[in-house]
Amino acid sequence: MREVRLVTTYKRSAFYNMALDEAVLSECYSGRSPPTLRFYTWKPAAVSIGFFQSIREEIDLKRAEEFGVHVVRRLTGGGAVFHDREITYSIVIPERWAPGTIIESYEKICRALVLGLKFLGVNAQFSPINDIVVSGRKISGNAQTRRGRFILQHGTLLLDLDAERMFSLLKVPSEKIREKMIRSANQRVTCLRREANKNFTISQVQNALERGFAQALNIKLNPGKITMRELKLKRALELKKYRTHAWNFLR
Amino acid sequence: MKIRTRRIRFDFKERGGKLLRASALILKEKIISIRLSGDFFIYPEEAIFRIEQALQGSSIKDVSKILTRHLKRNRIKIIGFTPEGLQTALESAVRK
Repeated sequence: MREVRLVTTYKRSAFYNMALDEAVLSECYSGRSPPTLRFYTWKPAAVSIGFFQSIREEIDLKRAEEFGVHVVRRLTGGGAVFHDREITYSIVIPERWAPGTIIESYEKICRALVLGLKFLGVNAQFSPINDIVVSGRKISGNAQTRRGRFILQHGTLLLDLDAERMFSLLKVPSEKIREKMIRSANQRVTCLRREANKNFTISQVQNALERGFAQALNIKLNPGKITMRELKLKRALELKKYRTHAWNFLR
Repeated sequence: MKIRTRRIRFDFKERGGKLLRASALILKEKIISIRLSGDFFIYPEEAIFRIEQALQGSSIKDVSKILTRHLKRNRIKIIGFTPEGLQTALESAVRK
């Protein structure tokens, strides 16, 4: 059976989280680290923007500063995400474990979350290109990048939702709203607490997601640690890339 | 003779696609420079800079053809918008 290292790093900064994702991908690509699944949370709360987004167009930077919310550019595409009451996963696996087109590989990996939600009593579906929805409302956004023959996919699962705070930080494009003919944020986005009608602890959610990943990708998860080499690379990436104005204001 | 350039900005989203925000400097029907942003995906990501360069100097009516050829030649994949959609949106923005 395919084996995957399982790592948990809760309550880390946006810069730490993004730098570690890239460090693990780089070390897997170099053959020094095994395929890895990491679960993490963000402290302080943060907004991440997609690689191609313009930070000024997407985020109310003044308000982010007022709220003490960090802002970081991801190495993956996709949209802006407010990381507050949620759990994030990041998985690095060889491309051949999720073969087919890019959208097929999203679906294969997202199946882990759909299964995890099922174990928590929530009926969710994959919604192409990169979302997971419950009754048409988004509960999870996902994004992937590739290095050589390795995929990194990371994504979030909303545990609770403070729509007012979320949408006061994100500048939601009116085009999106118009297309979907949706009048309020609460109709577009949902969270686990609302769908399960129950408050789960973060470790209950992580356990369910671990089972989901194991089943969806037919892998065995082995609890492990970040290597010294990964940590060293993470430190360099955090300082020289993810904390810099040049990177975060790239577009 | 005075040369007139025009700055155009537009948001566009194809059905089932992602939001694309474009800002372009146009001289007559040609692109002097263009910047694309949005929540789409490009693999590899760094190819966005080469795509923007490839569109510099091209006629708006040739955007789809030039972009399609560039993607194929460099094995670049875009998810979230199409070359045809970008051309149509540019054409509609310059008409305004």
